[in-house]
Amino acid sequence: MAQKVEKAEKWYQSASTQEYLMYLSVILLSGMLLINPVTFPLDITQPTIDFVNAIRSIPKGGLMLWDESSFVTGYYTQNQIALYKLFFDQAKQRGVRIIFISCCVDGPMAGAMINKQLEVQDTTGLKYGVNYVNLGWQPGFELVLSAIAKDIQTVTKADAYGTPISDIPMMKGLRTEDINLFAFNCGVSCDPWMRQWVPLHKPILMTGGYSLIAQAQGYIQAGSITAYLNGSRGYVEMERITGYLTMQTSLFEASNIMGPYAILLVIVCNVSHTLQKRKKRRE
Amino acid sequence: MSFLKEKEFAIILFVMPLLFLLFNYYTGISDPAAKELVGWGSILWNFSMLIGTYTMFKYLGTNLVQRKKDSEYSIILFISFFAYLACMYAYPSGYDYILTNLQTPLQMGLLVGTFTNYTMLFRGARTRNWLGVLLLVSAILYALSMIPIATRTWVGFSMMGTWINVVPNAGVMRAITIGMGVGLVATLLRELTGKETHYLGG
Repeated sequence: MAQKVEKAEKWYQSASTQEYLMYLSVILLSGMLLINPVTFPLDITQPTIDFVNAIRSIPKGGLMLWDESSFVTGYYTQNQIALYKLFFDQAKQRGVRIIFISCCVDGPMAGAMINKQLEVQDTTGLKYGVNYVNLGWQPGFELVLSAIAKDIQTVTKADAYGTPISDIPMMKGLRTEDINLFAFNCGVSCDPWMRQWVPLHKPILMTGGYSLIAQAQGYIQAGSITAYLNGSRGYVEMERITGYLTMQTSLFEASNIMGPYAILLVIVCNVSHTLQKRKKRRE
Repeated sequence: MSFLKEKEFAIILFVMPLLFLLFNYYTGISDPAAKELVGWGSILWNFSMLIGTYTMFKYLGTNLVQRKKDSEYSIILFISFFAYLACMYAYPSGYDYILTNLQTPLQMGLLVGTFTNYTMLFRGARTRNWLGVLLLVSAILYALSMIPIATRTWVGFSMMGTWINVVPNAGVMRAITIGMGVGLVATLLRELTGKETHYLGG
């Protein structure tokens, strides 16, 4: 009986060697940019321009609401810090008031991140409770979004620091209709925000990952979402417009190399798979 | 059996507020009561978190008692849970310390998982039919449209990526959204008529 003799695996065919090589290339390629940063030219896309303009065109003394859903990545890469800086600049320059809240479905971490991001902001000349307020994380997700849409006063009895809402000057007599702009950071599909906030007929801004922005295209084209930041590129474009360059910009430089590398891996994978199949057929 | 334990009672508890909120939405009548009701919903959500925590503890506790595989990790979870909870209310500076020096670096550490993405792409992105190839080509074109150096190399990448996002992708997403909306209405009707009782755990 003919026995099938298995061929010895060559060193480069071993899965672990291939993985080590891949990891090494990732470290070398991204490390190159850390050692020798290169600022690649970046075309600013229209949605980002619209996003920044929407924030800058809130009427003087107007009001915006920001719903936070980002966790530590946004804080660590500093993109959220840059976004908050954009908000606070409007507060300083044009008296825009800001409500921070987190309706995040994933739990109270996003509320904690609001605190951390507020700690590093320059709030000189601004007063908590007058120019901005932090309502913290509110459990209930879409129910909270619905409560915001119905009456902002019913969302919570106290802010993130335990101060009763009735004792916060900015919240006194405030109605949902007084809010000029709604903005949210999206970690899941944007449907709940759309269901609750679109009937208010106010500008709505969204920030989220590439896939979530792709999912929101229907709403974007319908005009329900006024403008958006498309993934990390959107944030970097915003940083280029505002001039508050953070670590996010440096990290994004890596995508110039790592993106094509990932594509190359996919192509190599498919070509080698096809060649292997042909070889097997011949045998 | 008490009426309170009847399935019909639970359905009434669900349907009555639902009808009231629908009535309020379309007429605007009884706005204060509707606002109050929505507030109750948020409070109930807190209770659901308590139930979730209880169920998780019961499950992991049973695993631990029965010494099932990997049940020792439950001890870490119990300790972390109670330490975090206690610090949050009794020792806020300790809570902040954990958040800054433990949770933040750990979550950032998870990002190292990005390395495995490359391995995944190399091993898993094999296409076996023409639809797979189509999906892969679209994904590559969209990815290229997001990479600044690619769009600088050839403007066509940007145009193709945008087209994929704005035309076929948006069309499909619209269809999904409409389908979802129709599904929501259909489920609502089934719930109102008592035919759908998934919220009772059935």
